Amino acid sequence: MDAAEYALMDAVEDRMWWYRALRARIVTALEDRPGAPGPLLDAGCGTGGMVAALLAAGITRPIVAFDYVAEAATRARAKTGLPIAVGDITCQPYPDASFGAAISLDVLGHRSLEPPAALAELHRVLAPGGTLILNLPAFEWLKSAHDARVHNARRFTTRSIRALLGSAGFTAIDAGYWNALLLPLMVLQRKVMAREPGGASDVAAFPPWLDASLHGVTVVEHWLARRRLRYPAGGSVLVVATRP
Amino acid sequence: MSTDTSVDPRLLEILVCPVTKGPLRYDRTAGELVSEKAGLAYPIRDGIPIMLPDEARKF
Repeated sequence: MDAAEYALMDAVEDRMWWYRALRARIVTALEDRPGAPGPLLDAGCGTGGMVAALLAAGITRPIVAFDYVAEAATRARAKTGLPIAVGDITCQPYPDASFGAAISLDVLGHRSLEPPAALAELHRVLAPGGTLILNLPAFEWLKSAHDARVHNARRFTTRSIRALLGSAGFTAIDAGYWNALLLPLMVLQRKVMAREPGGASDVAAFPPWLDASLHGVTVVEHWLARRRLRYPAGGSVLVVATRP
Repeated sequence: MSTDTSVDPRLLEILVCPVTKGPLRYDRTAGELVSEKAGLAYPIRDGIPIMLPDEARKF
């Protein structure tokens, strides 16, 4: 991503409905499947908002995080006070079986990496019984100017990520779509009101009333999902798997 | 770019060479994490270790 996108992310990620919804999902997923004993890895931590949210939620296990981009790592360190390294998810600077759980949020679509190489490394650094949680952009047909801006080269389906995780040796794969209730709005914004390739980021400081409304929709959706409601489609795929 | 080449001791405990997965030696004077086996020295910039083989100094 370019420097301006990181500055934007750093500035709005604590408020914007999309990030708040994502964090609530990850906190819940980690409560449900904490994995093996040991630290949590955030592989591709960006500007550190997820780590900060986990600390705020009272997580007690140690957290280790890295990002591929030095500017993001610097911002993440400032935001969390944790030691952050610059690293490559396909060539990670940690010993085998170092972590009891790992999260990697909207990283595997990045144009600079091959998902099988990234998953092989995540498998290596996780201890047996460890949990892997991924968030991924859904559906190739939703690709838009925002993907280009954040250097996203591919989008996923629950079927495609299940296959990749299975090949990498993960088990107990639970993959589902979310941001389903807002999918029609996303299609409207990305396809009907389609902007030029150099168009603006989808990350923005929304007017407070709109941010609150969109966040409200995600809260309802999360509540329904926790009651095992499965959505047939959505803007993102959330996946939880175990490294056996 | 800051010249802060000190590094958090918590990072020294966990980091290994991303190529060999072997140990690193912290060279405080040079501000580098050195992987003898790989022949690579990873720079520390602004207190952040850059664990990318492409950015490491070869020796």
